[in-house]
Amino acid sequence: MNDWIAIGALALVGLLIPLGMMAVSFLLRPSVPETSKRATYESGEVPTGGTRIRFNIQYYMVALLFLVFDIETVLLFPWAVVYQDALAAEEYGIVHALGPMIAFVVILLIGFAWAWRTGAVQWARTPEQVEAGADR
Amino acid sequence: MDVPIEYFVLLSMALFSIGLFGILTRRNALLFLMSVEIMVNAANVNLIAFAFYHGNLTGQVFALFAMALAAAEVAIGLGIVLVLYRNFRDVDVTVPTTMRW
Amino acid sequence: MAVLELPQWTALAPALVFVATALALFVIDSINPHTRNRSLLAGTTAVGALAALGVTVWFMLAGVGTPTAEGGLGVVELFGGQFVVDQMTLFFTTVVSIVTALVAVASYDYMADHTYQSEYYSLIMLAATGMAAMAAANSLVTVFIALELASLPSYALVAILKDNRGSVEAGLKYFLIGALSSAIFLYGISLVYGATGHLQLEAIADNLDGADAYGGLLGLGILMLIGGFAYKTASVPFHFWAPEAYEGAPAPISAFLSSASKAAGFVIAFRVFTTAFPVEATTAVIGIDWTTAFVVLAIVTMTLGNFAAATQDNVKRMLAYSSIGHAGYALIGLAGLSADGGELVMGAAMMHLFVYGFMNTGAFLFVALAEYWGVGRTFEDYNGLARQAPVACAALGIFMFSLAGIPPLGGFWSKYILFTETIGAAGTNGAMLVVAAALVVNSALSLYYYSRLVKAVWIEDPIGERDALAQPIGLYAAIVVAAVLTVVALPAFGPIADAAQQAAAVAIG
Repeated sequence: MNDWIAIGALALVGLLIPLGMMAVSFLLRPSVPETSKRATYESGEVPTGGTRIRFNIQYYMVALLFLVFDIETVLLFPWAVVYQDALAAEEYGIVHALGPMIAFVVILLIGFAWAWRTGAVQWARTPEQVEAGADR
Repeated sequence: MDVPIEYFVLLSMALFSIGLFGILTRRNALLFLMSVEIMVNAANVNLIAFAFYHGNLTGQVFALFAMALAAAEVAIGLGIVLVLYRNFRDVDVTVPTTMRW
Repeated sequence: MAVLELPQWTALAPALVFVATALALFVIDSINPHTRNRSLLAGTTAVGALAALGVTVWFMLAGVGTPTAEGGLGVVELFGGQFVVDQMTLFFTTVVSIVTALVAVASYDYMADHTYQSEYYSLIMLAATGMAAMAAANSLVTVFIALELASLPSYALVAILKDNRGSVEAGLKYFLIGALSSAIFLYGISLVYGATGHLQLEAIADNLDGADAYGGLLGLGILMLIGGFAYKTASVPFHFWAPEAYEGAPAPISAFLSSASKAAGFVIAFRVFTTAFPVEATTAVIGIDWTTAFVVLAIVTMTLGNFAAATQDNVKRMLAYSSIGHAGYALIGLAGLSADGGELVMGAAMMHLFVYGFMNTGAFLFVALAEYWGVGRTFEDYNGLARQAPVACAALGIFMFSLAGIPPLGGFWSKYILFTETIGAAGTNGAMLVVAAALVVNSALSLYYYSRLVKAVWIEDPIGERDALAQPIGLYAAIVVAAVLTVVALPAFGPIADAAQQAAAVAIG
């Protein structure tokens, strides 16, 4: 039998289950129309204000730092894969195997220390900092 | 490999075209960024598929670098979009026209 | 020589000096956050750039990159050919480091009121690192990474005046087109990799004949690579960011981008197309001679740039379009490669980029000075400046006439050599005659708008009363040094020409 028939059957069942559940609940449920049921956030509380609120800019700074430092770890991955082999090989010493990665991490650390010192990860400011600081 | 290489190229070209279409039709700077990401990922699909096809790892490692660079690019791009919003109160890329084309 | 005893990786010293300076600036700012000590920051930047220049010149004199047969140390290949240090690398690293030093010194005054000082200088240094790495990159991987390393700080630098709408708009446009073109470039790389199975440039060239089945993919990939280069060098079809970005950006950054960044863009274009895609072998696979594309691009770029420049009222925008025109001149270097004597044309193009680096930086720095004075942006606003600032205006005259190609200035000789070599190449490739004709016509046209600026500054009467003009030391020093370099390029032209021709010959070799 062709493999695709099994896959097609699976897709069909996957589609039928949710549709069937929706149909069953449509047939069984009592119908009580009420306006508060149409609210986006249906919890009994009356929502106030719009959905578009402005977040503290600090969320954004931390998110950016996270994005950059998080993605840098993918560059550790190929190094970690070859590290043992490089150590085992005759022609590369520990300096050759470990040195470049240490240099890489040191550069990242300098960047991180700079971000920390210049207040990119600072959530609250003391009164002196508020006075001294510009528009950060 | 069971799946012919042409399928991967078709997939990546479709992704690339979707991204290009988004860039040409959208006016929101954030959607523009997302479209560029789709194009970069189309290239990554190509690189990884061809790395498998050719049997060397160059393409896979380069795809990792491309991902890291794309993330850095997005970080800069979001910063620019932020100052754009502060200055123009909008993220529509057709709004800033202080200089004529 | 002492160079021989150093480990191989030290051949990348210029780029390493740049990156070390950038990190040093971060450390300075970490020790004393938000420091406004401009002398320390600008000084560190300038010293770093000059140190990189010193190392580069030392390498040149010691013979790194010169073929061993001529008594040199030979081309240094690093990390399995991912990087290469040859004469072309050193030649362009010289341009980048001199321009970086000039920009750093000029920024001392121009950015005096800016809140984020250390960020500005460290971004300049990181961009310079990327450009130096571009000069040495010898694999599509390193080319792409270096290109992004040069581009990403540039986006931030263009938009660094956060409250200035022009600067933000310029940054946005620069970034959007940059992101698009780098995505296209990356896709082009992936197609070339698919067709050949390699990313290292020599390996690509060796595997071109194996790519017969994928000629279409390879052709499309090459076309996309051209798009990426066109963006970086501000050539057609990705040129339209240039006037916006140069006009909105802080003027020293415009100088940096239009000189150093453009030169770095050309060095990767030269290296990728000469090393990875030799004309005959590539033509056999994809069926089209890729130099045809560059013939068209060169003519369109120079014509569009010069005609658009002639219609501008805004001085900075005029310089931006003229910078597009000069990109067209330099593209001739790639257009001529299929003909006999192609390496001479490419050497002439490199020479032009070298001289252009100084005169164009100087011209933009004069605009920076005018913005510092606050005299306005149009030609009329510049009227009669020479009465109050004769030294700077004399320097401006030198830059303008050199850009236009008036003898006996440096710009004339580089254009003259470019012209004669193009004519020489026309013997085997008739299209070069058209290119040469376009070069002459455009140069003549460019004389109109360059001399218009000189006339405004020296001959016209000021339209209104002006306050006494300040004489900022840093800006003045940078302008004068640029002017001196433009003039000194004249007696030094023989060695520069030799270096460029040798570098081109080795690169094609």
